[in-house]
Amino acid sequence: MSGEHFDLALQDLLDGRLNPDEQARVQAHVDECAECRSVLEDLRRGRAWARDGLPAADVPPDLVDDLRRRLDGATRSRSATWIGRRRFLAIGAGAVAAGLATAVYVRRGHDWPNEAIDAYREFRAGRRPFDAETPDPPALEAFFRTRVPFHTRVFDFGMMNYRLAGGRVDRLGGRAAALYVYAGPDNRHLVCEMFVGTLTELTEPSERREHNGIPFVIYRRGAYTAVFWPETNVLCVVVSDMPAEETIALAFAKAVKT
Amino acid sequence: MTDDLRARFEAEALPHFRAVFNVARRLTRRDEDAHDLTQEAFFRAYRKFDTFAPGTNCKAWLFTITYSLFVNRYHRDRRDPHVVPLDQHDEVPGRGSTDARHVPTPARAAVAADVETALAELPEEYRAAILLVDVEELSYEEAAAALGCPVGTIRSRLFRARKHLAASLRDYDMAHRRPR
Ligand SMILES: [Zn+2]
Repeated sequence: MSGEHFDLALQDLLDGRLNPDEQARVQAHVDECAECRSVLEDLRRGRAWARDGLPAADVPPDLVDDLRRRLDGATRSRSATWIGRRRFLAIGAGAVAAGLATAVYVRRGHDWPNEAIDAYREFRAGRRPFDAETPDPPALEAFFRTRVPFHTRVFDFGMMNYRLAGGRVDRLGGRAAALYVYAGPDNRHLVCEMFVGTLTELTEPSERREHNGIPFVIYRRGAYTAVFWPETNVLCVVVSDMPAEETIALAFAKAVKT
Repeated sequence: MTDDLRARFEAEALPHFRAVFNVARRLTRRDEDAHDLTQEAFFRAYRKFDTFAPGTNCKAWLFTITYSLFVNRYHRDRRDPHVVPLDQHDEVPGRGSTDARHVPTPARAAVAADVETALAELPEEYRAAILLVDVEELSYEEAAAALGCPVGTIRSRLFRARKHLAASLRDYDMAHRRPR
């Protein structure tokens, strides 16, 4: 728009965001200028379409029910934490504290899928650096052996064109976790975590599948997919933002029946 | 104390569930994602509800959480194929054109679908601006806070978004309706 005309100021006029002097000046111009009048009219119509042409859809009733159930879980967990702290102060024993920490944790509706996805995002953003950088699965297993309280099994994904990049000792839901990452073609990454847990502690998934007799619990959250499965007393999860079926296929390939 | 927080959350935040759900629906454009985004936004809002300043705009606060979650979780790297590049969109549907959108007595549902389509054609940041200001009636300042951008950016995004809707839906105005 050339110097003599207005553009954004026309919208300010429409939305009543000009002071009286400016308003008078812009209005005087609009009264004389067909071009600016036409822009103003477009803005008015665009605003009207947005205001009147986009009715709100009803919320599926299950959605609010699900949220309330999650809030119930979180409410209980707040209370449990508070009681736990008081009892800990009263007794003051480390062993009891460890027991209470577990009890408190179990009552919180676990959001492991979200935590695992956050771990993936943070890794990708460079905020969860490796403790050990190695392409060698046995070397990483040896690294984890003295650092996490369970046995890790770091899979060789070479035949699927995924190379181990490294790993770190991480936390998932307040528990120690072994986190390791594979780098694949097209800058794809797969983050794996292992930690002590059971499938029954997980929230309702998007989908459940079975493959080679192993139960898989699948969460699709936006661009991300998280797939959990059990191996003895440990839960494994893989997370990626590659197409969901590819993440699931990698989980199927990695899982072993225990 | 916790029950009190829960009661306040039910009273102040949950009434905006429908508004957040509808913005989520139009941001993600997938029902499953909209469900997930709305739930997650409210769950996070609840967990930090003690940081919400009473007396301020709770809906705007909820949109701040929703949009940040949306950007973090649903931003895909590749550009969306059916988004109209903004330097072209003003001229897209020609004045007085006789394309398929021009129907003499359009059914209401068809109009609504075309408004949704015109909105969906906008790049995400522009869509978010017009949804928050024109549909949800946030002030420019509240929308800027929710989207994490300067007020001037809201102003220019709104300008382009409104012009796009007007241009895309011009045939309806000619045919049967002049919205106020
Ligand atoms: Zn002019």
